[in-house]
Amino acid sequence: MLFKDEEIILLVIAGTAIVMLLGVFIISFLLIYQKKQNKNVLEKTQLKSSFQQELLKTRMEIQEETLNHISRELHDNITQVLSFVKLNLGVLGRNLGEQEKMRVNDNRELIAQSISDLRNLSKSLSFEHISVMGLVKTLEIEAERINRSGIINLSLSVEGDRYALGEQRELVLFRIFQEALNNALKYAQADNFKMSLYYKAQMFNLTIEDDGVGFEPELLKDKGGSGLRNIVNRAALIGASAIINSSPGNGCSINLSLNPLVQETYVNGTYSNSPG
Amino acid sequence: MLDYIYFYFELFAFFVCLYTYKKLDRNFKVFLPFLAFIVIYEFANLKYWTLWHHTNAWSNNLETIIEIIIYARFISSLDKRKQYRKKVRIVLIIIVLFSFIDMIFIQGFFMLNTIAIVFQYSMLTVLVCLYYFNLINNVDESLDIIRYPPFWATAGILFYTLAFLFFYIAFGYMAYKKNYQFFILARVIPNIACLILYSLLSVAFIYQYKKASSMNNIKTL
Repeated sequence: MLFKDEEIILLVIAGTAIVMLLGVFIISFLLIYQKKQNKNVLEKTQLKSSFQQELLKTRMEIQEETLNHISRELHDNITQVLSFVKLNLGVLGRNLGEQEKMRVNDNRELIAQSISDLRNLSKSLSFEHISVMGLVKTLEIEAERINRSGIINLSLSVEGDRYALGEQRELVLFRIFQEALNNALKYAQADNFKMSLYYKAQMFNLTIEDDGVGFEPELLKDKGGSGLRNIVNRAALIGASAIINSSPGNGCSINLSLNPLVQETYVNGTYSNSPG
Repeated sequence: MLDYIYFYFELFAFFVCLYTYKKLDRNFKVFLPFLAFIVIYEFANLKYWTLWHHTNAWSNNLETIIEIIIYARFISSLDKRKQYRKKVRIVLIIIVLFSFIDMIFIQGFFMLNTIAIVFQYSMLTVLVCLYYFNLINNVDESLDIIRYPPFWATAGILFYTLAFLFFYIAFGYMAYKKNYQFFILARVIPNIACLILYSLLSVAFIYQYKKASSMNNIKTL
C-alpha cells in the first residue's frame, strides 16, 4: 500500500485547507484590487478637478496681466499724450482771436473729458485700484461712469456692514460684474442694470439683475453661453456658488453667495502682477 | 443537532430568498426554486426517504447534476458576452453528459459518481475564477464590490466547490474502507461548505434587496 489511511485523511485535510486558503487569497486580492482601483479613480478625478482649477486660474492671471498692461498704457501713454495736446492747445489759444479761442477751449474741454474717461477706464481695468479702493468704492465709481455715459441705467445698493472680502475675491467679483454688464449691453439690450450687495455676518450675497431680452435656460448648458459659464467658473474659483436664472423676455438674474469666513484654497496664491 | 447545521443554513437561505424574491435580479430568481428543491431533497435525505438499495448515492448524483446546471448557468449569466456564454453551455453539456456516462458506465447508478463530481466542481471553480478575472478587467469604476450581490454569490460557490474538491478526490478510495476518521470528515466538510455557501448566498440576496430598495427610493424621489 502506497499511503496509510491516516496519511490520506491528513492529505485531504491539508489539501482542503490549502485550496480554501487559495479561495481566501483570490477574494482578498479582488477586494484589495478593487479598493486600489477606486482610490486611483478618486485621485484621477481630484487631479482632473485641480487641473481645471489651475487652468482657470492661469487664464485669469493672463487676463489680469493683459488688462493691467492696457490700463497702464492708457494711463501712462495715451492720457499723457492727450494732456500734452491739451497743453499745446492752451498755448496755441493765446495767439488766436476770441472766436477761435472759444473753439480751442471747447476742444480742450473735450480732451479733458476724454482724459478723465480714460483714467476711469484705466482704473476699472486695473486690479490695483480695486485692491486700494475696495470692491464697493470701485463699483460706485464704475456705476457713476456708466450712468454718465448714458448707455444703461445702473443702480447699486449695498446692505449690511461692509467688510473686506480679500483682494482676490473682490477682484473676481468685480470681473463677474464686468462680464454681466458686458452681456447686458452686448446681448440683452437691457435698459436697466441693478446690483445689490448684502453683507451678512456669515454670508456675502451679490445679486445682479437686468431687464433685457433674457435667454433660454438651456443656453447655460450649450457652448454658446461661455460668458455665463465663465461667471460660474470664476465664482467657483473663490468658493462662491452662482445661480443664474433667465427666461426669454424676463431679463437675467445672477445670484452669488459665499461664506467670507471660509478661506478658499484656490485663491490663496497671488497673481503674478498683483501688488502682493 | 450540529450534524444538521447545513440543513438549517439551507433553510435560512431559502427563506431569505423567498423574502427578497420580488426585488431580486432576473439571474438570481432561479435560486428560489433551486433552494426549495435543495431543502426538500435534504429533508428527504434526513428522513432516509431517498434510500434505495441501502444508498442515497443515486439521488446525490442527480442532485449534483442539477446543482452544476444551476450554478454554471448563473455564473455565465453574469457575463454579457454571448460567445462566452455559448462556450460555457457547450462545456456544461459535455460535463453533464460525462456525469451520465459515469453514472451508467463507469462508477454506477448506486455508487457516488465522484469522478463526475470532481469535474463538475472543477468547472465551477474555473468559471468563478474567470468571472473574477473579467470583473477585474472590465469592472465599472463606480462599482462597490463589497455590496455587489454577484460577488458574494460567486464567492459562496467558490468556497463550496473548493471545500469539496479534495474530499471527493479521496472519497472513492476512503468511503468504502469504513474509516471512522473519514466518516468525521464526511460530516465536517459538507457542514462547513454548506455553511459558507448558503450564508454568502443569503448575503447576496440581502444586498440585492437593499440595492433594489435604494433604486426604488431614488425613483420615487
